[in-house]
Amino acid sequence: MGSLQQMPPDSKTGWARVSRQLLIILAVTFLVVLLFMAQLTYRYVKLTDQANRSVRSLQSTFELNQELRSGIQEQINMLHRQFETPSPLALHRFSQLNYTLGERHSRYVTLDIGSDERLAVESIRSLQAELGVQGVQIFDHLRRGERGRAVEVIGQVEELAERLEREFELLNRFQVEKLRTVQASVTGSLKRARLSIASLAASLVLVLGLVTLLLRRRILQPLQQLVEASEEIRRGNFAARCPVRRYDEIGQLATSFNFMAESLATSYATLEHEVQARDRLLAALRAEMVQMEAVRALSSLIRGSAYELNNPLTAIAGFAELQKMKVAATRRDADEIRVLDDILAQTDRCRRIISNLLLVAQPAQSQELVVPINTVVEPIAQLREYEMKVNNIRLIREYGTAELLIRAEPYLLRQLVLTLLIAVEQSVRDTAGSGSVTLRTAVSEGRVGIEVFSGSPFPLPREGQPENKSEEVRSSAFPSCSALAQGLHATFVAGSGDEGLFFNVSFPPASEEGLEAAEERNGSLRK
Amino acid sequence: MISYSGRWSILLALVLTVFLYGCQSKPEKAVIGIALSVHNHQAIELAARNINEAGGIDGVPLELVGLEWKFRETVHPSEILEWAERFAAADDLIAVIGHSDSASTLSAAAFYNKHKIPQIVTIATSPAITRVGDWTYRLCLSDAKQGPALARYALDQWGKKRVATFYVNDDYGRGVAQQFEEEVLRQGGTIVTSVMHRNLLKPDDQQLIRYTVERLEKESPPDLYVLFQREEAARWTIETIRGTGSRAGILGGDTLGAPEFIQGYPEAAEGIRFSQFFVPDPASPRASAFVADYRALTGETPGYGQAFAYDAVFLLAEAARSSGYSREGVKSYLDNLISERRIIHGVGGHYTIGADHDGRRDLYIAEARGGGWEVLARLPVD
Repeated sequence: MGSLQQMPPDSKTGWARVSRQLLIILAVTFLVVLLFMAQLTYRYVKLTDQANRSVRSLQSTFELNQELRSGIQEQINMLHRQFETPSPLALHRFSQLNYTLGERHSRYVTLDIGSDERLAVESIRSLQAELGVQGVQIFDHLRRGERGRAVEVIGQVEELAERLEREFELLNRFQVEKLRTVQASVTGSLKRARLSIASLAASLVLVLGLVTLLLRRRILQPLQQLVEASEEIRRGNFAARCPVRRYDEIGQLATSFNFMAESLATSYATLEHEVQARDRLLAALRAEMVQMEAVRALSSLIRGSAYELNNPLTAIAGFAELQKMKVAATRRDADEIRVLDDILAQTDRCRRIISNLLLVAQPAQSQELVVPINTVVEPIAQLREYEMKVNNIRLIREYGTAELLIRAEPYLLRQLVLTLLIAVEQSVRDTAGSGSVTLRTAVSEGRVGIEVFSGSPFPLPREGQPENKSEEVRSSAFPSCSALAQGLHATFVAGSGDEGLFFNVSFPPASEEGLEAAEERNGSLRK
Repeated sequence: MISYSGRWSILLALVLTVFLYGCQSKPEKAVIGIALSVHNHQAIELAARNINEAGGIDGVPLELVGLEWKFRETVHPSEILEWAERFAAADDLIAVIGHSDSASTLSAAAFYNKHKIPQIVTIATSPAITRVGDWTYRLCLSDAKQGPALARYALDQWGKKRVATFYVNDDYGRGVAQQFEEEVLRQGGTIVTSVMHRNLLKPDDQQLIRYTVERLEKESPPDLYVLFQREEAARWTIETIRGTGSRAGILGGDTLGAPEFIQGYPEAAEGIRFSQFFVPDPASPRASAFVADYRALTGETPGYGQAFAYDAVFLLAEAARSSGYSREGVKSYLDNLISERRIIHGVGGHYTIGADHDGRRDLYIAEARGGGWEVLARLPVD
């Protein structure tokens, strides 16, 4: 996968988390609004209570004023009536009314009134007490027949009544003033409340702006960069990355994105490399297929030609034999007999070559058989030995025990061995011009193997171990061999070195017993 | 670097320390405002001196303010309000004792209640006083108790039926006269006349009283004259009654039980009966000591006004000691007295304070004899 950058740790220091910042801002805003509402409610309740108390007090005071004024007026009326129609019970009623008015006066002290009002009330109480006393004296004067004196006193009572009226007016004025004060207080409080609400609204707008700015700077902008980076990657630019400027949630997201982009780039590169390798393999396979078709056609031609060559060769051999018998019987010419023997020998050799060619060119049977591997390999060796010899290449046979049996399709096996021999021979001719090619059959690590190599053998990777790059190249350079080995259910390994090529094809043995016996007799080939 | 929680812990500890220190700290002094007539000043000073000589209120000296306000009778409402404001503004003031008459007390009570200053009323008896607010407490009886008790005594125990009342037309006189007359009528008696007059008699008032008494004696003599007046008016009325040769009894309210009247006008006072709140208990060493100290200080016998003023100072000192040197603490203590119906032992006798904030104590009928007085009866009071 290549080297990917490590994910940064979850940082709780340095930059505060965006969620925490937002939470703090929202909590502070909520608290401020809550405090403001509490203060506003407190002010409202206080103001309402104050206004209610003032209104109640004013109402009670007005009612009390009215009761007292009417009571005092009633006392004055009683005095006037006493002048016109004297009554012995009038003094008692007057005294009782005086008690009542006294009680009403004492109710003033329970009202929430200011100092000025209280002084006015005290003045009213004093004047009313004086009026009561003078009223009793009027009754006394009238009882004694001192009408003139009574008239004089009633004049004083009238003056007292006027003074009382003035005091009541003064009290009334104080109370109206108080009402105006309460009204002004309410109006002022309402103005302050409106101002406070406007301030709160402005503050909320400010906070909203700040939050928006924060969202834009801390969240939206990084997200936009993330979107742009994603778009770049979608277009195929796997190098696109999102800048990581902080380690909050957005930073973590950007880091994760970059990590993912890096992984994607690496995966894509690997995939592309594999596709290219497959393409190359496919092209090679196609070439091999064409070649194999050609080989198949050539095999068919060889087979036909071989069959056709067999007849003249048989005839030549027959004629040569007959001529030899004739010469031996008649002329006994030794030179001629020797020539005829040579003809017979070459004819026999041609027959063997043809026989081998027929074996190689035999059509595929698509049927696996248990075959002795040496028996299958040897005709192929014989077939290529002559040409090698002509090219100064010596074929070395290192066959294992004759009982090495494998389960394989013989035609494919012969094709594979022939191909390997030709490949190694070609590599010797290309590199040194002459040398040796070794064909070896043996048992190795529980498998029956065929090895074809030039020069001395060199170590190969063990099965299951990763192959080095050169071997991989070599394996892929012989796709037809790989395909044939795959068709034979064999393991195919190719290698190269300074002295040429090396091929190893290993098969599972046809039977365990045969394998053990073979190992005991033959030992292992490449350990 | 101190951590966030560490800083909070330190701040909390500091606040707790300051709070506990504030809870335990005592003021430099405890101040009581005195709004009583000059007759009561010496009893007040005696109480304060006794407390301070005993170490103050748990070490806090008691200080009195208002003693320079010397008045004998009623005062102008503006002066009352002026002094009430001075009391409210005084540092460390825990309560006010006063005022002496019902009219002044009513005028001031509204102010004290509005400013949440405990007010201890010692001798003003108008029923309206303790209806003003929760910050007003009274040590003496209300006229709502005294008036009916006097009426029942006059009719039931003294055997009088025809009653003539003379009263000063102010909150005191009107209040007690109305209560008395209503009870007389309820008990089957007769109010032959009810005369109101000014506190300081003018010739008109004197003429009215003289004519009324002469007319009554000529036409239908009452068997009891009841006087709800102050000293000067009472002296003049009694002399007028006796000047007609009347043999009717004379009954006075609590104002006539004061030494200022009995000792000031011994001839006029001789033989009259009056209601008396204060009867020194010879079995009480504290009461005896008070009487002795007061006599030694002034050369006069203390009356109920002096005794209740003395008790009021001690009551407030105890309140401050028990519940803190604050106005709220004093109120809390007094409210606890009411809720627990606790009996308070004063030099003026045992008493409680009822839920209506009025004192509950014994009421006596006494007769003035030779510049002094003798108790004739103890009246049951609800």
